Amino acid sequence: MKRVHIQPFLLPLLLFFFLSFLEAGAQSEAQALLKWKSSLFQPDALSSWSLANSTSPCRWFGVRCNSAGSIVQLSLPNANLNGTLDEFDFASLPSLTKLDLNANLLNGSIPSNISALSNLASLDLSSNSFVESIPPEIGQLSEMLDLRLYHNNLAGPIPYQLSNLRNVRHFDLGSNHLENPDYTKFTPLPSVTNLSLYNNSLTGKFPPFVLNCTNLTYLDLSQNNLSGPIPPEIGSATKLQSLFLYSNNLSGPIPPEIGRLADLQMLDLSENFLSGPIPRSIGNLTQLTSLVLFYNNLNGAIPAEIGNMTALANLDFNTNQLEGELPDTIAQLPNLELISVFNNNLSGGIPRDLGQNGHLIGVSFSNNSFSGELPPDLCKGFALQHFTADHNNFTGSLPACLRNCPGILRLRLGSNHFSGSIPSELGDATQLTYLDLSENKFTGPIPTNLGNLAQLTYLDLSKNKLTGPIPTKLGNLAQLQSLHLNNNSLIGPIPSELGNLAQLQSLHLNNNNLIGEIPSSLKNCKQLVVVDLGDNGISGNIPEWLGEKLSSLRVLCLRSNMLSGSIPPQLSLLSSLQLLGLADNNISGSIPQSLGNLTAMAEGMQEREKTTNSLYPFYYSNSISIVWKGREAAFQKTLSLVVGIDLSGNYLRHAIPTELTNLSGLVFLNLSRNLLDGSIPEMIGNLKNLEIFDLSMNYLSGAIPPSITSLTFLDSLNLSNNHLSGRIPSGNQLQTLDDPSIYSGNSELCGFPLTKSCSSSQASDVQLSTDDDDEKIWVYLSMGLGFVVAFWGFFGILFFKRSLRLAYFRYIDDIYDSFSRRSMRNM
Amino acid sequence: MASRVALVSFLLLLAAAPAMSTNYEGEALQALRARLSDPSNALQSWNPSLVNPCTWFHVTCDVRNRVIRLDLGNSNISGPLAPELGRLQDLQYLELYGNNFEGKIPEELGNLKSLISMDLYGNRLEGEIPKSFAKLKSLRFLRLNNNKLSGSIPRELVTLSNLKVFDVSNNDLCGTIPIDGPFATFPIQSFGNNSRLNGPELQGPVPYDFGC
Repeated sequence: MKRVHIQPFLLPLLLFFFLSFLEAGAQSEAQALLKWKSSLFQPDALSSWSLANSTSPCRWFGVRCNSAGSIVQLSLPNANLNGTLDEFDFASLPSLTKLDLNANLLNGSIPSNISALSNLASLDLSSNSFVESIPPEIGQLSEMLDLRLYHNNLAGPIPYQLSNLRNVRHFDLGSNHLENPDYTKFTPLPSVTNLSLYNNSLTGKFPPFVLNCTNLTYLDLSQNNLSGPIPPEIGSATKLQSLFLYSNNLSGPIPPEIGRLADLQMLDLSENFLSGPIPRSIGNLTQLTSLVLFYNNLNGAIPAEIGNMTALANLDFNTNQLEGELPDTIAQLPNLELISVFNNNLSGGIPRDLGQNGHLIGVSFSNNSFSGELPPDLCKGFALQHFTADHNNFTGSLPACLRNCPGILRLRLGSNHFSGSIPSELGDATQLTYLDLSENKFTGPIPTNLGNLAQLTYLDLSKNKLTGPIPTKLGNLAQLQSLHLNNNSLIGPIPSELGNLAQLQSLHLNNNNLIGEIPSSLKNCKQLVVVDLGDNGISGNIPEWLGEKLSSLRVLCLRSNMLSGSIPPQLSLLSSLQLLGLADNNISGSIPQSLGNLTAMAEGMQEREKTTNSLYPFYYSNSISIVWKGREAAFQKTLSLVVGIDLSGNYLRHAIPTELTNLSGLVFLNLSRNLLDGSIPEMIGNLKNLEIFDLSMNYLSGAIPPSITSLTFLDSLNLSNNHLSGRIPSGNQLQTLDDPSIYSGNSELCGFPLTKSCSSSQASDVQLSTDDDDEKIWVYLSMGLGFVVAFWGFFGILFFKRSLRLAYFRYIDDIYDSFSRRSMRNM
Repeated sequence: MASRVALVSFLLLLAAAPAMSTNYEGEALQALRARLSDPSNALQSWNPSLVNPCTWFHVTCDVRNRVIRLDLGNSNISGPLAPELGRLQDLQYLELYGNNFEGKIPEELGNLKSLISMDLYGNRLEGEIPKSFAKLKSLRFLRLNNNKLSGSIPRELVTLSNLKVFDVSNNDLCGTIPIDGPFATFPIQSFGNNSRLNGPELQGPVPYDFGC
C-alpha cells in the first residue's frame, strides 16, 4: 500500500477546509429541511426549525446527527404535519438512516426519489394519507431493516422490487388497498421476521413467497380476499409466534402441520370458510394463548388434546358446526379466561370442573344442545363478567356460584329448562346490565331485591311460571330500557312505581293475571316505544294520556282485557304508531275518525324502514303476538314492517270511518265481532298493502265496493255474517279467494264464489278475465283469422265426415253464444 | 389487535340471537327470491332467519305451518321462476300475475299436487306449457294468458277434471285446441290471440300440433 505523507504544517489548513466543507454540508441539509417545512401547512411542531435558532439543524426538533454533523435520523411521529413529501429533497440527506413520519396528516404520493436515501435502514410513513402506488425504487434501499407503510391509502400491486430488500426484518404494508405483487418475480425475504399485509386487496391463493420466508415470527395476512387452502407448508415456519389469517375466503381443512408451530402464541383463522375438524395436533401448541376459529364451517368434535395447551387464555370457536361434547380436559386449562362456543351443534354436559381455575371472564355456550346442570364453579374467582348459555337444554337450578358473582355484567340463560326460584342473591350483582332468564321453568315470586340492580338496562323474565305481584321496587331500576315479565302468572295491579322508569322503551306485561287500571304514572315513561299489556284482566278506560304523552309509541297492544269506555281520539296523536291492538275488550262507542291521521300507518314501508334502523332494541328485544291469517304469530325480527289495527271483539257501533282508508300502509285490519253498521267505505281499495281484512260478524250493509278488487295482496278476507248485498266484485285477486264461507251469512250477496247467481238487475261487473274490452275485439279478429286458416284447411274433410261436421257446428254455436253474452254485458 | 379483542368481546355480547335458518319451504321461497329483482321491496319481510316462512308477507300457511298461498300479484317483480317452488307440496294458490317473470315455466311446478289456482298471467314467460301440469289434479284455475308462451297446448291437460277456468289467450301457442275433458266447456276467448293456434281439434285426421 502506498503511503501518503502529509507535511505537518499543512494539517491545520486541511482541518479548516474539512470543517468548512462539513459546515457547508450541514447547511445544505438544513436548507433542505427548511424547504420542506415551508411546503407544510402550519407546521407548529417544527418551530425550532429555523436558522435564526441554530445554523446547525442538529439541535432542531426531531433531528439527530452523527459525530460529523450530518443528519442521520429524522423522527417526527404524531407531529400534526400536514402536506406532502413533494418538496422533500431526499438527495440532500445522504446520511439519513431513519425517517419516521408516523401518524401525521401527510398526503400525496411517496416520491420515487426517496431512493436517494441510500443509507436508510428504517422508514416509517404509517398512519398518514399517502395515495397511489408504492414507488418500486424503495426496493433499491438495500440497507433497509424496517419498512412500515401501513394505514395509508396506497393502491396498486405491491412492487416486486421490494423483495430486493434482503435485510428487511419488519415489513408492514397493512391497511392499504394494495394488490398482489407479481409473484413470479417476488422472491422470499430471507431476513423478514414480521410480515404484515393485513387489510389489503390480496386475492387468490396463499402468497407463495411467504412460505419461504424462513425467519418469520409474526405473519398477518388477515382481511384480504385470499382463497383456497392454508398450505400445509405453513408448518415449516417454526419460528412463528403470531399467525393471523382471519377474514379471508380460505377454505379446506386446518392443516394438521400447524401443530408444528411450537412457539405460536396467537392464532386467528376466524371468518373464513375452513371446514373439517380441528386437528388434534393443535394440542401441541403449548405456548398458544389465543385460539380464534370463529365463523368457519368447522365440524367434528373439539379434540381433547386442547387440554394440553396450558397457556391458552382465549378459546373462541363460535359459529361453526362443531359437535359432540366439550372435552373435560378444557376444565384443566389453568389460564383459560374466555371460552366462546356459541352457535355450534355441541351437546352433552359442561365439564363439572370448568371455572375451577378461577380466571374465567367470559363464557358463552349459547345456541347449542348442551344439557345437564351448569358447573358449580364458573364464578369461582369472581372474575366472570359475561355468561351466556341461552338456547340450550340446561336443567336444574342456577348454580350456587351465580348467586355470588359480584362482577357479572351480562347473564343470559333464556330458552333452557332451568327450574326452581330465581335466587334473590342476583340482586347483589350490582354491576349487572343485562339479565335474561326467559323461557325457563322458574317458579315462585320475582325477588324484590332485583330492584337493587341499578345498572340494569334489560330484564327479561318472560315465559316462566312466576307468581305473585310485580315488585314495586322494580321502579328503582333507573337505567332499565326493556322490561319483559310477559307469559307468567303474575297477579295484582301494575305498580305505579313503574312510572319511575324514565328510560323504559319496551314494556311487556302481557299474558299474566294483572288487574286494576293502567296506572297514570306510566305517562312519565316518555321513551316508551312498545307497550304490550294484552291478555290480562286490566279494567277501566283506555287513558287519553297514552296518545298525549307517549309520543314515541310504535306498538300499543291492550287486547284481551276488560277495558271499557270508548277509544280516545287522542290516540291519533301517536305519529309513530304502527300497531294498535285493542281486540277482545268491552270497548264501546264509535271508531274515531281521527284514527285516519295515524301517519305511520299511512306511510309506505320504505319510509318507515329508514326511521327504524337506529332503533336497535326495537328489532331484537320485542316480540309481539298478532292474530295473523287465522292463527297467533309472533313478530320480532320483522316487527318494524307490520302495520295493522285490530279492534275486533268489542262493542263498537256506527259506521266504519272513511278516514281509515287513508292508512295505506295497513297490512291487516280487523274490525270483526263488533256492532258496526253502515257500508264498507268505497275507497277501501286505497289500502294497497292490505293482506288481512276481516269485517265479519257486524251489521254492515250495502254492496261490497268494487275498489276491493285492487287489493292485490289480499289473501285473508272475511266479510261473513253481515247484511251485505248485491254482486260480489271480481277481479285479479278476488277471483283467487274462492272459499264461499268468507261471504256466508249475507243472504243478499250473489255471484262467484257463492253458488247463488245474480239476477240481471244486480248490477256489478263480474269479469272473470282481466283483459280490456278493446283488447277483446282484437282477440276475436285474430281468432277469426286463425279460423280462416284452420277451417278451410279442413273444409274438405268436413264435407266427407258427417259426425265431424256436426261436432264442428256445435262448436260454432258455442262461439256465437259467447259472443252474444259478451256483447250483452257490454251494453 | 386492540380492535380485534373488541370484536371478539362484541361477538360474545351478541351471543343472543339464535342462528337458526328457515325450513325447507322457506328455503324454496328464498331460492325464488334470490334470482328476482324486487324494486318495490315486496319481499322485504322475507327474513331467512325465521324458523318458517309463515309470517313473511304474501305467504299464508295452514295450521301445520305448511305454505298454502303465495300472493305476489302486481308486485313489480322481475326474473325467472325458481324450480324450487315445486317443493311447496301443500301450496293451493300460486298468484304471481302481473309481474315481469321471464324465462320458462319450470316443469317442477307440476309437483304442486295441492294446487287449486295458478295465476301466471301478465308476465313475460316463454317456452312451452309444461306437460307436467297434467299432474295438478286439484287444479281449478289456470291462467297463463298474456305471456309469450309457445308450442302446443299439452293434450295431457284434458285429464284435469277439476279445471274450471283455463286461459291461455295472448300468447304464441300453436296447434289445435283440445276439446276433451274440461276443454269442452272453456270459452273460445280463453284461446284468443294466438296467431298460430288453429281452432278446435279435429280428432283423427290431423295431429294436434299441426302447424307448430
